[in-house]
Amino acid sequence: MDGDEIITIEHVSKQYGKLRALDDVSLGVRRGEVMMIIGPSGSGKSTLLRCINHLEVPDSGHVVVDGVEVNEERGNINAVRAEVGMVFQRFELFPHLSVLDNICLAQQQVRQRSRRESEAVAKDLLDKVGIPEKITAYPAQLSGGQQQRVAIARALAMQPKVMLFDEPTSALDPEMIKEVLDVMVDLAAEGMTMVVVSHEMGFARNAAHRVVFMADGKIVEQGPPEDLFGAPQHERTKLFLSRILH
Amino acid sequence: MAGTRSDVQLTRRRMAWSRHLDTVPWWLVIVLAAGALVLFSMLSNERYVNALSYLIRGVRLTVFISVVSYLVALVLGLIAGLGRVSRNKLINTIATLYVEVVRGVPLLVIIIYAHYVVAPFLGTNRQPVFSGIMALSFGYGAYLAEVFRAGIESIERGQGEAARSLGMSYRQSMRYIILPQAIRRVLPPLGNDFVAMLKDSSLVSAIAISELTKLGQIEAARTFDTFRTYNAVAFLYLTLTLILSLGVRYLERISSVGRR
Amino acid sequence: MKRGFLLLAVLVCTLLAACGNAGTGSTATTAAPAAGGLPNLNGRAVVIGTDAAYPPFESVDTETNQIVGFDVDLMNEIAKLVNFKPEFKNAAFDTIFTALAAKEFDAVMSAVTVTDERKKIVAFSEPYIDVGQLVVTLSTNDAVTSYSDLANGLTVGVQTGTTGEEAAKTEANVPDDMLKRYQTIDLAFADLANNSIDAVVADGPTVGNYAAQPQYSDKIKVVGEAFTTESYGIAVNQSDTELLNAINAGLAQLQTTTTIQQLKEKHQIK
Repeated sequence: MDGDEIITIEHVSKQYGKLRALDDVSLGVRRGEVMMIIGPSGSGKSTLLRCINHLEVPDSGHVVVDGVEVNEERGNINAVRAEVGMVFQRFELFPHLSVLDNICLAQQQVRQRSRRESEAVAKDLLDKVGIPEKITAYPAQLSGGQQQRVAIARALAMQPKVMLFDEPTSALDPEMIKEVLDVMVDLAAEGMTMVVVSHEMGFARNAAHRVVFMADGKIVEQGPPEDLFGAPQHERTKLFLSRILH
Repeated sequence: MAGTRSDVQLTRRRMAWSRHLDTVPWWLVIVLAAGALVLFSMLSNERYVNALSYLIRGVRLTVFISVVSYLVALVLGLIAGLGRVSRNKLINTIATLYVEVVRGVPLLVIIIYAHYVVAPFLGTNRQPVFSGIMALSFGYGAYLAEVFRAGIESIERGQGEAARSLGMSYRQSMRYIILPQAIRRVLPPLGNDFVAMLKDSSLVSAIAISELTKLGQIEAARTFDTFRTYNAVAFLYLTLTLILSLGVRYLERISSVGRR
Repeated sequence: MKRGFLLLAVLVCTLLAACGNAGTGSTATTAAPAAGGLPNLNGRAVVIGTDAAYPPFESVDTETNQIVGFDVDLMNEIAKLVNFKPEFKNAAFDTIFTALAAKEFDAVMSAVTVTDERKKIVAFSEPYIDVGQLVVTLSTNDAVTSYSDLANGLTVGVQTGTTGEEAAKTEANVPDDMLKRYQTIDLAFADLANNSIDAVVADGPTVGNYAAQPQYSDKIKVVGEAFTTESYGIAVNQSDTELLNAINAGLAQLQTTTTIQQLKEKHQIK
């Protein structure tokens, strides 16, 4: 594969009982690439994403992140995960901690940064995502869009090499989707390697380098957004696109 | 015309009043009133005064045993609860054995076993209070383990995943993310179990510890007055448990308000 | 719906009737005395409360699950003479007199010493045996030679509500916080054998019985002589003069024979 690849997924399969969630999937993500994975529910896209940071363990195949074989690093999976940030559909902020503590906790516990250092980073990132004034607030006091932006800041605070997004806007009110997408677009423009599972076609068009279409646990088709949306090759792709692009 | 205006004012005042009446905890008022009545009638009866003044010394030991046993039980319970959710087969098996076996033996039997079998082995049999505390904390730890386990399992998976995805270890995610939330969630049942412990502490009377129940037995045998003696004993236990129950309710309120 | 109610009503009535008919004997009239001039209770059922953890007077035979002992044998002899049906029931000792006063049983025969305090709430028969309190310690304990040594900072086990408890307090001057009170005396002996307490004070024959039991015989020993004199009596509810007279008559008769002596030998009571 490309020496430039930061994530290499080779022949990964995963089965849940009778269901084949992933069927011999291979995929490479280059440094600085913004990849979007789309597909119907049950297509395996979230499962694939979660294999990257070992939240799911494939039955067979290899997942290599920045030179490290994820599945074999049982002993030091935490070190791998520190380099891979993840943003969840349900935000998953820690409700008993303030926004500041949410962002600082892992910095201190995992990166061993001092309190002062981590707070400085937190303030910067909150600025960047546009809600510096919420630093002392608690998650319950924030709107969904604000919470997700804090979640992004929390993941970025670890200065990861890759950012994974698992349907980041699917749980948001329509009015708040844009504020989160804007942050993601900025992040992409700065050159962060991103893998995003989402339905937001606007983001795909504006920021993605490559769109991957999955169905039934397999990659059906992939390519630059203009190609995939403009001239899809496979019937399955055409069917899916016709259903969601209205 | 003027009449209409004061009618409206009167209705408003009545509505405000009835809202006040709704917020009063009537059950508590009744209990306190009844308690005051009972206490007053007891204090004016010489036999009750004698009984109460003898029994009151037992209260100190009862509270001491209950508090110490419960604190140890909390520690044991937390450890065992963590063991129950652990994916380490060995730890999980040990924790499960502890919980299932100990919950299957009546507390009184555990107490007698602790004093007549375990204590001599440990060399502590000269201090039956130690046997009692050992037994109560060991016995309750098994129940509290399940309370903690339920609390931990009630925290949604996503929280642990978020913590782990940031690079935190299992231990760190437990310590900073899962446990703080889980413990806050189970404070009410933990508080209730403490009230239960206070009542179960009466079982250590079987190994000749002079706590409240034992003093009741002695007094009743001495005076041949089971009726009055045990009225007084029950009254004292009720006072203790009611005070504790109020504390638990307060705890419930402050732990649920605010964050989450 | 209606039929269901009817059925329930019939059931309840049947139960009530059955309860009403159970429990004979309370209205039995005394017939003419039997031959020999002794009262005749006409086979009245007499429930006797006892703390069946006090051998050789009463204990539970683990094989037959029956209450056995000197008291049981003696009561059976009396019952034969004056014609009643004795039924022994296990009960907690510390509340046994209040239970008798509340008519939970008809009589109490439980190695019970006749005391003035107890006479205030129950009636006693004539005494049927004399005993005294004895001290037991570990076999290896040389510091205790008599009951007067018990006041020297020793923990002493007794049964709650017994004259042993009283004797330890007033005769041996054991301070209240050094006194360990148990619901049944067997737990006191178990603690003594474990060296959890220093001594036990209980009625002589019972102490002798426990000290002779195989699991205790090497570990504990009787110390000194009996330091009180007491007599056992059979307790009866103060209003039940019929039963009391019958028991006294039966006892008086037995004391003219060798029966009681034989029973004492049988149960190894000195």
